[in-house]
Amino acid sequence: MNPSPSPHCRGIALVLTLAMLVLISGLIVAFLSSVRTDLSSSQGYASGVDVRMLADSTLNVVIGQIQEASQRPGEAWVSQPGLIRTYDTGGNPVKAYKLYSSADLVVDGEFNPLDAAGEPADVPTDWRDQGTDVYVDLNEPVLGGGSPVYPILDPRALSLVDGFEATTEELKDAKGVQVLYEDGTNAKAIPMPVRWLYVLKDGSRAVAEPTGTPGVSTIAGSGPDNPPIARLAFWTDDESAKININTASEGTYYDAPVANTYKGGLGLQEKVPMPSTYTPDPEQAMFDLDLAWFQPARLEYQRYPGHPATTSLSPVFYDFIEQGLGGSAARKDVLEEIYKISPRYAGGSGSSLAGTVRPATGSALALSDDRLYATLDELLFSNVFNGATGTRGENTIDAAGKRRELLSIARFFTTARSNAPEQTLFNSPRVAIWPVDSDPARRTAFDKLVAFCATLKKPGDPSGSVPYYLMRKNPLSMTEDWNLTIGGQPTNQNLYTYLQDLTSRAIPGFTTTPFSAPTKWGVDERNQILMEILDYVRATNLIDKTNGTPYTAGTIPTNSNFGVVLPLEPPPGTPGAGTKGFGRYFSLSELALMAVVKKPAGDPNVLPLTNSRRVQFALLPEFYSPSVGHPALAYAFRMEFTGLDSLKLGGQSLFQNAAHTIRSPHALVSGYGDSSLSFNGGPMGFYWYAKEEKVSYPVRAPDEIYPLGELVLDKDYTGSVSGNVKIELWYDPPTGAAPVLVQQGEFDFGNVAFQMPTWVPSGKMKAAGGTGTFLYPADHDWSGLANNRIKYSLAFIRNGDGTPYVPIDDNGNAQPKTEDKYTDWLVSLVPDMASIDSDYRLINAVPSSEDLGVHFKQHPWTGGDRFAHSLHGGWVSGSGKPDSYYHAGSKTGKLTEGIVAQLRYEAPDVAQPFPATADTGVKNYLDKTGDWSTAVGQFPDGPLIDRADEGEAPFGDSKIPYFGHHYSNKDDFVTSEQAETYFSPNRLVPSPVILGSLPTGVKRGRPWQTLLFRPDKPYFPGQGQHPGNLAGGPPDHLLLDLFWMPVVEPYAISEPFSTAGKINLNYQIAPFTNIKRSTGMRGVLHAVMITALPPFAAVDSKKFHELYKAPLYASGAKRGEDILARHPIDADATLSLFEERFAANKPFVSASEVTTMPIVPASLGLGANSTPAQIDTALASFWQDKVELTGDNAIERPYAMIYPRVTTKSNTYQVHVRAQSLKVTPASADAGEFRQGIDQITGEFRGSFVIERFLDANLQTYDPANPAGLGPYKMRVVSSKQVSR
Amino acid sequence: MKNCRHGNNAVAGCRFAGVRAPSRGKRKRGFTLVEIMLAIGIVAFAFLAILAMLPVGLATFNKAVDSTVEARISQQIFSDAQQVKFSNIDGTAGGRFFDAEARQVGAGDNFVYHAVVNPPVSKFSVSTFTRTVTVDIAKNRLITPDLKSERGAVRTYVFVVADVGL
Repeated sequence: MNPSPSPHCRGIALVLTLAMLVLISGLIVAFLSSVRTDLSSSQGYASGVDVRMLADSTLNVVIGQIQEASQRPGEAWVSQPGLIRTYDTGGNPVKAYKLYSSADLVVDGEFNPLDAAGEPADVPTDWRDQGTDVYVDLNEPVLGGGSPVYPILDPRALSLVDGFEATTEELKDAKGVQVLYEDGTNAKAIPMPVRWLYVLKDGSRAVAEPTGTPGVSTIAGSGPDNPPIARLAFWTDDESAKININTASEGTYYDAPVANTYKGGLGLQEKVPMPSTYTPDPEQAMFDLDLAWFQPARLEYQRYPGHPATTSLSPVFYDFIEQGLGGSAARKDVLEEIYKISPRYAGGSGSSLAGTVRPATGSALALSDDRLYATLDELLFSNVFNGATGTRGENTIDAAGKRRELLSIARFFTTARSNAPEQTLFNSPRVAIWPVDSDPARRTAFDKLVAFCATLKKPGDPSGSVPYYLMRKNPLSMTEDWNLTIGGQPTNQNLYTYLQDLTSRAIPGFTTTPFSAPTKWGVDERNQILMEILDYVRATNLIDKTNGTPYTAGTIPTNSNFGVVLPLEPPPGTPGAGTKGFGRYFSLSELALMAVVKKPAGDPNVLPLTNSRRVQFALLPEFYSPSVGHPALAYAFRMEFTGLDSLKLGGQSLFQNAAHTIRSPHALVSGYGDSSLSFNGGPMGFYWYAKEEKVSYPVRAPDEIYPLGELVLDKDYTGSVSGNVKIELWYDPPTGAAPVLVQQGEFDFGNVAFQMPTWVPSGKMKAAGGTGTFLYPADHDWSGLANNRIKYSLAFIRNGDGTPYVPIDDNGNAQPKTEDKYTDWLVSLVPDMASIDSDYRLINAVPSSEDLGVHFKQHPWTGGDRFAHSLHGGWVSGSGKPDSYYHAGSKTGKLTEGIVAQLRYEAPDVAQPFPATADTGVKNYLDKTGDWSTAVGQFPDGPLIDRADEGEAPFGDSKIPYFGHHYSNKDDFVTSEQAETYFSPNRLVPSPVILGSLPTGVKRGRPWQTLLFRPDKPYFPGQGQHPGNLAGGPPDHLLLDLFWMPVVEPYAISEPFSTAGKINLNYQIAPFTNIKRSTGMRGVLHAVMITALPPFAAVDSKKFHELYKAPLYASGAKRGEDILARHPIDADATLSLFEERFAANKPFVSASEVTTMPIVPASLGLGANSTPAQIDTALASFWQDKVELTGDNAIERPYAMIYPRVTTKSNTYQVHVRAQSLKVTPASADAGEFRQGIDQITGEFRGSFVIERFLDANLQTYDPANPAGLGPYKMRVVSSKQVSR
Repeated sequence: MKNCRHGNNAVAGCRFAGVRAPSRGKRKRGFTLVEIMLAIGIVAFAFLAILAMLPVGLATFNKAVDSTVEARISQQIFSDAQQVKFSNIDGTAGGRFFDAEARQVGAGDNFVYHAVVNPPVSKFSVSTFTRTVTVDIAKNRLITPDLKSERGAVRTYVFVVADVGL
């Protein structure tokens, strides 16, 4: 018997086989599994690549939209979050480019983000019901541990950020469970739904529509051969609608003071420093003496008007920081934390601590030199690096322990990158309003940066360059700067021609009528206005010594060129010929013929009994400069009189010499006690040459006195004076260069009845209607008068109220107004009432090539009144004080109706020197209230061009700047300028709005109208029909669009034709109009105030020396009250007017339109819920009396601070993307559907990209022949971010 | 099989049964033919089934490789299209050949992937500053209209290129 197999061997083969099988199967399975993993990995990689390409494609879709929208020839474009719109020259909407996924990416004609019911037009209320394959929520939070992560907008901002409104929903997870924040409160959601855009296989776009079956959507255009392969959704935010954490900080209001308002009861005296016990409280009230004494320190940019640093971060961060500081903190402490966050600004020691302390004279802040934030995420960290621990410091901003929450919240309101183009509505480059020396060696670092920012390459020649800024070289020539050639090109003429071209075109976005149209300005007026602008720029920044010699060299009081810029006057044959700028000089404003009778020898109290009189005649020219302010203006000129002998009385020549020369060699002449003129512009007076001659004074040389003549006449002589005289006003450069003829003309006195002057004993005069007090001795002791001497007679000076002095008897009783008792005779030629009406700006602008004399007519009172003149006095010799007795050279006129005693130095006379009784204020040619200007400091108001004030340094620490001393004192001049200590381009020139006092009626003889850069409202000058806003032409404010002021401090905030940190006026969010974000504009408005002077400040608002008398505060109920001229803004009410615009679908097409928006003072208490009508009524009431003392430029001033910080066009956008790659089943493809749960989403990308359009510095050109305009513009991706936990 | 178990090595099919030679004195039985046949049958059957999965696995592997390579190819073409001056974007259209590692090769060289960039169109966005580029990629075969109509033979990639001012 065979042994049976061992039991353990039985079936071993099978076992082995099976084992082998298992092994091999395992290997195979492992292989397959590996392959599967590989496939999965590969597909993951591929889908990752795929969705990233989809995301990039999404980005490219947006880039394409932006590129096309911003380069449409002949159309203006305007951006806002989610949308770019274009407008034609008729102001009609042409295209709307949606920057979010929508069924239509481009809409022809008008597009309104709002539907008829005011709801979002592109987001139906039932968007959820249409299915998640139709709409997708881009702000769908990512859930997981901790608080949800919001890709775009964190609802917690609602309670922490100003200017943010949205409707929230409870946030629930996929199972319907309420999601909680880390602190245990219910999480919210703010959906931002947009359409999915499906990418079909053939590259076409489709949207899904609901089928009615849940989870199934139809994809139009898809089919078996053309299935959807991906879908994408996006929404583009405009970064310019956010506050830039690099350029913004926290502003505190500052402006040059204009009136001596101060805290009630302060009781200051003349020439004293501010009491050490005085503590300003800018949060409660900002007084003008606060502005004067607590000026910003040098480099304290957060107080420089219009600087991006004045845009405030507090609407976003204030609450956070305050919490971080313990819950409640003083504003200045919160501000200090903000300055610590700011990478380039500084507060703290050395600063004015938000206007609460006085920085040491001459001190400059030590600025932070931190690098700029690259992304918002860096905000939490300071640049302080701890080498030991290898960590960066942390900003105090998150002291409340909400670091992540802060970033999440801030992301929707702040940005590290925002940039706006400085291009015009024509898509052409703007012109920088900063003068640059033609000699590169004389340029400061600021000048160079401005030049860099405003230079393009020459079209067709990249090696050449085209400057879009004014160059200057010689202030003492009227033509040299005009004829400057750089690289063979007349650079300034080219600039002018360029501006002529732009102002000759239909204006995209507004009107087919150009500025040069006869219905607007006409060619001549347009040319004149452009010349005024360029010359205004040329005469800015005169004393900056940071790079050696300033533009206007010389020293007060010894040099005749100090502060002098002779006006530009293009020679014949050059562009602009026939126009004239203002420069910084003066013009003849009046020519008076005076007759006085010499006192007989002997007892001065014995009236002359003889029948003859020795009558002396003098020609008194008076001057006016509209360029008021600092620095001082040298009173230097030479005046040539010819044809004097043609002035005759009864056949006898009044003047024995036919020709005469007078010469004022320099600014201040010591030794004569002649501190009697304004040496800072304005009414320059005549007194210097007509003052009292004391025996001790040296006899004047013939050219130091006006033309004098003498006749012996019968005491009852009657006759007429007639004849004309030719006058030439010359400037003799101290450099030895050829003399410059500034003005000339033939002045015809016509035929005017002569009235014999008489002599009145000392003490025999008083004011008409006065109380009998002798006001001033009227004794003209002419007895010692030699041919080269004249005595100043107060007798032809009017009293302060405009009435003449009258003779009185020994008892002080007024004598009958008889010829015997009356005194001197004086007639004058004054600017034509019809065409100039004492708006001396128009006289200043008469070119030397034209006859100035034709603009002068007999004074309106000529023929009846003995004193038919409008001369001004000066400051009282010796006292150095202005005095109203001496300033009312004529009957008092008014700038505005309603102010009775508007004596602000000489202001009323300057403005309207004609009959007080009929005086209703200055009027424009439409017989509406006219434009006049408030002057800085204590200078008189009047027809000024509002030149950029170059500052008034503290007089040591002993006097209050702007008010605490007198400009007539030469010692004061020496130390009052602040060029070296305080100089800063952006402190000097905030924006082109400062051009708003330039007259627009020079060539057409229309006085008292200037560029309108403010709302044209019935309560403002112009009474709602301002010439700058009439139908038939573009509104004046569009001129602002042609200019810009580059921001060059503390770093290149401006780049070539762009500026960082501007806020978009169009903050309406498309399509999510239900989400309101006005935070950026609130940041802009935060540090701006309205200048509005109350009427009771009129009498002495400019007179510091009267303060110790406290006339302003001692008058009855006003004593102890705070008189405010600066009014904080009600952002809610002001922005409610913006909302009205948005509701009416009228976006801001030009940033200059902001000047048409009324600004509401907080004191009115209106708030966000006010209607426009309520606001209008309240503003009318507010301004009703304040316009009486507030000049046009002061009304425009807030806009000068706002305009440079706002835009309507953005270069920087953030594209929020959600992209998915898809794989649909054949069945779905055949049906042209997408079915949830069946069709696959193979990959997804959620994130955002910051993109920016920019100019290529090597290629940037502007060729008018190229319809695309300024360019080429390129696009770059600044940063990208993927949503993750 | 039984014979094999009894050491009949001469029986066909037993010689490879791997059984040991009978030891002296005690003769051990090898696998029977039946056993071996059964084992071979099982092995053959199982191997058939298992080996039948290999092509699937290999195909999957190829698919994985294709996914990766095609993604690289499409990315390369997208990048090229992004880099080219926009005015020349139409010039990117045409066929391109790639080897197994997504390296571009000449038309006459051995290629693994054939990619055809279709003429850029303005289908997705009508902006004149964008073009939609579709790329068809096939493996080991030249792309023809017929091939395109063959489901799954050609993969299509779509992306949008914008004029960024290059």
